[in-house]
Amino acid sequence: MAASITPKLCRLISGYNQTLCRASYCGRLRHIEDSCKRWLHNPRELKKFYKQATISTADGWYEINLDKKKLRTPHGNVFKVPSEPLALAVATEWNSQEIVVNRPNMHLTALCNSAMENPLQKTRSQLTETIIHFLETDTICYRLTEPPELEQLERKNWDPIIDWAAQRYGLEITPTCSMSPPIVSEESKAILRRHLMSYSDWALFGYHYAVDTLKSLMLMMALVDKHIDVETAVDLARLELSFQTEQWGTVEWAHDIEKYDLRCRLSAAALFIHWCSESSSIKQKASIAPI
Amino acid sequence: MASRSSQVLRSLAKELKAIYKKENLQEIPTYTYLQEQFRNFSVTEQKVCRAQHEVNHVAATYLCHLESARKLEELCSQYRGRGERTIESSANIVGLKLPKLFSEEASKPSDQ
Repeated sequence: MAASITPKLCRLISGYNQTLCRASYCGRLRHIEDSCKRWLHNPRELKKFYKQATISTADGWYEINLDKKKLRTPHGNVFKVPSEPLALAVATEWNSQEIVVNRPNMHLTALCNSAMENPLQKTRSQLTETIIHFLETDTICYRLTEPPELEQLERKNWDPIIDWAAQRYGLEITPTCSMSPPIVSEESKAILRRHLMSYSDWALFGYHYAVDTLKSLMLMMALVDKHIDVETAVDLARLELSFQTEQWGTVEWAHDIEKYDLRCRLSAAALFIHWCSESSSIKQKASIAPI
Repeated sequence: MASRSSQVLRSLAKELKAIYKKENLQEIPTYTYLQEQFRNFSVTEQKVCRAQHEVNHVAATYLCHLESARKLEELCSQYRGRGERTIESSANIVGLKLPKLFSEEASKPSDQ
């Protein structure tokens, strides 16, 4: 609708401009034209201004090229990432845009941007502390007792994750059924601090983003350790919601959108962490016969 | 195990094909990279290999990412607001009709 009005309106106004050459008219009409354009054009929408996104490498970093221009961060620096698969995934993300560049849904690009520019000026220790803080409000530690089926469901699905965390990392945490937060020992926090400090800066940003989306640190640790997959993590985080929707029915435009959004964000963060912390090398097997 | 990874690769190919509509599958750098990774990490003997599990997990995560991004986009475009309704269509929703508007020709033979 808006797109069809603008050219017509502009043509009309510029037609007036040609016939009525009086300066006052021109000035006023130009003013109207400008305000119309501003009104009809949504400034938050960015039209797709490139044909293809490709990657290139420079100084061991990978950059994204939109046609022939380099992709830049919001602050105007050159966008560069440390790993090839991440760059490929970001390029695919840019290529998957159709008419408008839907920036709010480009999670990998957003994660890279925030890791590169650090807009909130967070230090490593601040980031780790924020992540650890989530353990006290971890979704899977807050249990409901009210419908007995839900209680059973929570015990059946969430307990294995807590057991896994205890076995794998030695975390001691007791779930709570009341308003009081679960008890976390200081040792567990120290273990977590050490564990998180072993990640790179970039991966920590991904971790923070993921925990913030999922509202559960233990589920995220299980996901990063490849103990569970993204779908399971999202289902476990939305356990109560799915219990209720099973009983009362789902609303596609709310529940399904939320589920896919969560999956999309979480998988982006998991991939980001993986690609920012892996380092792979290829070792050829020694051949028996000399070539 | 092998069938599972080839299934993931096939689904990934489908998702990538939906993004890159014009290109041949082998011309998409992301796909060739994925294929190469799968080939590099494939185990020839029956052994429990952590790397194998890892590459499968990452591929499944990427598949989930592409799939959910596509579905989210579809749902959002389906339910996106299309501006305000007209008075007539809002009346129709609740099963009402608008009264007939006065016009010269229609009002000649008066019923009331």
